[in-house]
Amino acid sequence: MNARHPDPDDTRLSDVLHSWDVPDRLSPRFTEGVWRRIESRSGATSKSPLATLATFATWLSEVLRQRRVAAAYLLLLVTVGASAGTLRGHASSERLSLALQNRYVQSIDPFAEHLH
Amino acid sequence: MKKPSLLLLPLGLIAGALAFGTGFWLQTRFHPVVSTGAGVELDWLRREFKLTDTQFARVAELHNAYKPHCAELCQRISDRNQRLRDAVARTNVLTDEIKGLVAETGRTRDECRQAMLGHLYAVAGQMPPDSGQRYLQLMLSATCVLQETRSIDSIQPVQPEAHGSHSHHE
Repeated sequence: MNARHPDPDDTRLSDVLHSWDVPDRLSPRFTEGVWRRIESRSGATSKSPLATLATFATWLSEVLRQRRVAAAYLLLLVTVGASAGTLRGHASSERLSLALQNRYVQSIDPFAEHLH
Repeated sequence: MKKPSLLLLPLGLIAGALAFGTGFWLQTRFHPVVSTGAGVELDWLRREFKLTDTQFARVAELHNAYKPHCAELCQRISDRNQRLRDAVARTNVLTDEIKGLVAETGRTRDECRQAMLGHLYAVAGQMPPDSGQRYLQLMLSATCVLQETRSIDSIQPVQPEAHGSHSHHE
């Protein structure tokens, strides 16, 4: 092997090394990503339900952190809730209206009153 | 590890529940609580046919005037029916008394139907034409005014041709 060993007294090399600027900015979720990968590696050997849940929670947390996903989730639940409430309220209103109509009919129909 | 974004899960559910409640309330806000108190049915009439205060006052007046007459008719029907049931239970042949009671029950029923129809026309007359027409249609189908007519209408006449052709083949 022809490995080259630099001379410790080489000033040029020393200058170049000192001028080497390493960008110290990591991506915002770098640390979290590393931990997640470590967790997933260690969990791969022994996947307990709790670990699976934690992984899922982490994934969900990650997904919900995206504004679009969070907004879509809220919008979906509000839409479903409002639609279900409206439908349920409409059905209830119809039932009530029919009950009141029957009461009116009973109040003017001697036969209906007699039967009830 | 804290996961503040997971708070969105319960928040979303709460928002959905609130939306459900709002939708439900918007659909039912105008309905009175059904109670045994008198006048709820008239409130229904006012809302269903969009009566003005003046129209509603007249309709309520007609209704209150008709109520005692209706109660009296109800009592008479009940009495006649009871007398007929008693007479029928006492014998196993068609007696003159039963014939008379059947006829009397029919007359009472006709009288009731006439009184009710008169009341329906009077109430409809206090409403705007469209509402009055709708009221009449609704009440004529819901009350017993046209009950006998409907029964007769529903009878299907026997087709003599079918019987004739059947016997012809035999």
